[in-house]
Amino acid sequence: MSAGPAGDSPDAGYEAYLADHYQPSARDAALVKVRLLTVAVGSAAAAATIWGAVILAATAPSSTVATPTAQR
Amino acid sequence: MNSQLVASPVDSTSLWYVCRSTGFVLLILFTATIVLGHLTASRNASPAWPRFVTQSLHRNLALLSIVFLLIHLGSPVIEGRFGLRVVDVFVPMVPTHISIWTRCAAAATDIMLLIVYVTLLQIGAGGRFWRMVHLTSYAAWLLCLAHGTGIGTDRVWVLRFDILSVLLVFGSGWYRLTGFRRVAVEERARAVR
Repeated sequence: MSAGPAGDSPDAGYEAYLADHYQPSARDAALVKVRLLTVAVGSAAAAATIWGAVILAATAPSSTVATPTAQR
Repeated sequence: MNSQLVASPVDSTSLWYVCRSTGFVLLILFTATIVLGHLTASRNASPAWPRFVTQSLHRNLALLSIVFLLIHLGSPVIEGRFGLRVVDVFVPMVPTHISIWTRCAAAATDIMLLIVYVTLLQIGAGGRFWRMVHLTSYAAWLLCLAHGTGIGTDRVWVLRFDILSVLLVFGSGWYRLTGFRRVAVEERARAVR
């Protein structure tokens, strides 16, 4: 049996580790939780990007829109 | 349009706003990824929240960060506002006009891609090499903070986000270290019994 997640990393025996250490129902419920949270964070990040871009465009003074190349 | 600007292949400033916006989002995602890494390593878990949930979220957010990183890198290159080329955003030492702060971002990008490469291919997973590569994520995070603050655009808001990010990373790092000690004490107590 592999060490499982004790080393903080995914490993080859990860699925086997989960099967050995968690009841199938508890494991599946937790995996659903992971997927939902990932989708939620991804959606929030995408929404924040769009919202942020709109806010930046709406509040941009001309100096930040046209930054000269030399300043980069 | 300012005559000093490099001719843009895309006649829109939208990508410039997307670039800045994704910068903020990336800082949040990187911070969340590091915090989740700390929480995973702290070995705290409960039946309702097994440790692999935190670990899986850490991994998923890291991969999500890469997607947003590519948007953040690609948008100024496509817009062409600063004459950035693809090589400029990946090679920090390329001899060109770009500032030290953009070079910081290029170095951070290389480190993050290395971490993802090593992790996805499971090169020495969980071992010393893997750990050393993973530790470089702190350097990447610091380079990101330096990039955002030094480059000067939206500096006030970037500084606010930086302070929040530093507090969260240091707080979770402290929790991780005390978590290690707590687990070690519990294991010793069990061994004595």
